Amino acid sequence: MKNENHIITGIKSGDSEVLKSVYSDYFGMVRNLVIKNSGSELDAEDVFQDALVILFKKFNHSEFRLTVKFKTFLYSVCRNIWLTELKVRSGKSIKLKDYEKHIDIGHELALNWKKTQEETIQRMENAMKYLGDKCQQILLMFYYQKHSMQQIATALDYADADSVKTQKYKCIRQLKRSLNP
Amino acid sequence: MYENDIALIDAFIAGELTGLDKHKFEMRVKEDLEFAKAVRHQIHAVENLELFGAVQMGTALRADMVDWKKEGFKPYKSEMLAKSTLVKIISTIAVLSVIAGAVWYYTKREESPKEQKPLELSPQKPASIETPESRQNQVDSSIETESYTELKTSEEQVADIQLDIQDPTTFSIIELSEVNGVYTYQISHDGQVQIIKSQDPNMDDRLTKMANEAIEENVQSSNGSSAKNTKTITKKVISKQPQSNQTKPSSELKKDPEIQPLPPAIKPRGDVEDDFPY
Repeated sequence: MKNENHIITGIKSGDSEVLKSVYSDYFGMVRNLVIKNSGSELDAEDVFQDALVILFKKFNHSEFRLTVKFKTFLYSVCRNIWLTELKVRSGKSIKLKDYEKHIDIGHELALNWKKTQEETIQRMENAMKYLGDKCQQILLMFYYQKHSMQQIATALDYADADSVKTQKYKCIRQLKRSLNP
Repeated sequence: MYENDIALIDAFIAGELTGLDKHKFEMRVKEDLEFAKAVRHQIHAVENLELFGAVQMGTALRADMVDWKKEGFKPYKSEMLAKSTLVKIISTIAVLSVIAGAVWYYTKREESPKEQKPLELSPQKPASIETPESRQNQVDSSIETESYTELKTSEEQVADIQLDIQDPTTFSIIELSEVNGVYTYQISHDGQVQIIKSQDPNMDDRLTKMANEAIEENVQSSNGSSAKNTKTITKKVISKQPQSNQTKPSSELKKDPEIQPLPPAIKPRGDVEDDFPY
């Protein structure tokens, strides 16, 4: 369980070493699931990538508590992603061949979030380009990676947390204007 | 909108406001339309930032995965599949064992009637043969002794038998019957009768040899006092006697020069071969 907590913390903070070890340990499982259910190597990589992003979002949600093994949760997320993709491709309900225990993780994780929000993503990408690199980094580190002002100051070579706070205020105001003209 | 308001909205979105602070915030959203609009826009911006962050992270992950793939990943072994395979193997072994056991049991049961049951060695009197001589000599039947030997190996049986033959002319061996490979022999000498059952079809030869040795010993011990004791006996009767009490008439027996007269009350039964060397 200690190891599982280490994985969760690593994914939450986007620790590349942890993400690498998760890939090394579990990509084989995801690949097997996808390939044994009418998918390809590339499909498996897409599913694994999306699953890690979903895990990142889920783990950063303050109300989330992992009640099963990490492996089971990851398999369940990947299973839902691939099941949804197969339904979209074939236009009908599919029964998957399973190789691991899985749980019902809810409808929102079954959605292919990238495809359903393509327009929003496109608009956001344009807005972020307009902000510039420094603002992008501050906003993503604060709102997405949930880093503190002090952590951001250290990482981006600001004098102190207040300097970051002022800079962040300017960046978010600009973003809001871009998104809500 | 001031910097502090942005920080207040961030705290509300992060769920950090509690109690009175949260109540004050909610009251301000209701009363201040400009503030409410700013809150809505900031929530929207944060949601979009999270979405963008996820896309960014996914893109970065995909780039990293190319490098990770070069280093390889652990081969996958399905625990569920392994367990179900193990269960299948154990079930197959169990079923095969039961089938093998059943086959063995029925095969054994079918074979069992063919197997020879060990003979029960209940005392069995040799069928007496009614002849005029036997009737006359009924008085002497008290000297008859009967011994029954368990079905041992031929060597064990021969070792168990003690032949103390005083008069070689009274010695005879008769093969009474053969049932399921078990031979019944009757040994007579000096008015004594022994019944021997053996699976050895050559037991009569062994006994004949043994009788000769016994006679020689007697002769040596008595320094050849009796001429008739020096006579070597040979196998007298090697014939299968039917179980029935068919008996040759005593007159025929007497006519047969090969037939050795038996001691009182011990008479040959049934067909007696005519080739007695005696």
